[in-house]
Amino acid sequence: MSNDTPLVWTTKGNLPIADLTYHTDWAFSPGSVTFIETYMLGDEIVKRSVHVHAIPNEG
Amino acid sequence: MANTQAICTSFKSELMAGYHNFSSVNPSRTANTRDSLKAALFLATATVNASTAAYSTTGEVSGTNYTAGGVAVANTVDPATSGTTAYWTPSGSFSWTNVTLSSAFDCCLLYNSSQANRAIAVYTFGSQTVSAGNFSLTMPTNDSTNALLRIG
Repeated sequence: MSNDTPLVWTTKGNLPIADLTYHTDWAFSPGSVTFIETYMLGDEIVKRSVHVHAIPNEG
Repeated sequence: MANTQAICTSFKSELMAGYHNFSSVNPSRTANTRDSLKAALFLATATVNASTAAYSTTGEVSGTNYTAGGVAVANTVDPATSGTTAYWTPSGSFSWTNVTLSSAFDCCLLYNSSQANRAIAVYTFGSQTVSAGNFSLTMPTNDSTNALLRIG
C-alpha cells in the first residue's frame, strides 16, 4: 500500500476505501429525517455514521 | 421502557421560577451570562421523557470516544417570539466524532449544566448504532414553526 492510497478509519483501523462498499440510506419519521452512511468490508459493517435532522414537536 | 419526545415538565415550572437563562440578558440575575447547556445520548432501553427532571447517567450510552454527559451545546442565539409562540434553537448542531456506540440509542436529552443539570427537553429519533463513525443531530430552522424548543 503506497502513501497515496486513500484510507478511511474503521472498526478495523485504517482501511483502503477501495476495499470497502459504501452505502447510504434515508429514514423518515414524524420527528426526524435521518441519513445513514455505511462502509462494509464484505458482509461486515466496519464504519457507520448517522446524521439526524430534528423536527421537534411544540411543547 | 422507552424514551418519549417532550419538553420536560419540570422545565416549564423552572422557567417561571427563573432557573434557566438562554439569553444574553437576564434581569433576574446579577450577571447576564447564558447558562451552559449540554446534550447527552440515551439507549433505546432507557426511560427519558417529560418526567425527566435532571440529567443522570442511568441509561446513557457508552462507547469509544463518547464522554459521559454528552457534548456542549452552542448557545449564541437569544430566545424570540412570533405570534403566541416563544422559540429557541442552539446555534450549532450536536456532534459526536469518531465514536463507536454499539448498543442501540434513540434519544437525546438537552439539559442545563449550569443549573444542577436540570432537564430541558427530550428528542427522539429512529434507533441507531454508530461504528467508528460520526453521529450528528442537525438543528432545524430557528423560527416559530420549526425551532428545536417551542412554547406556544
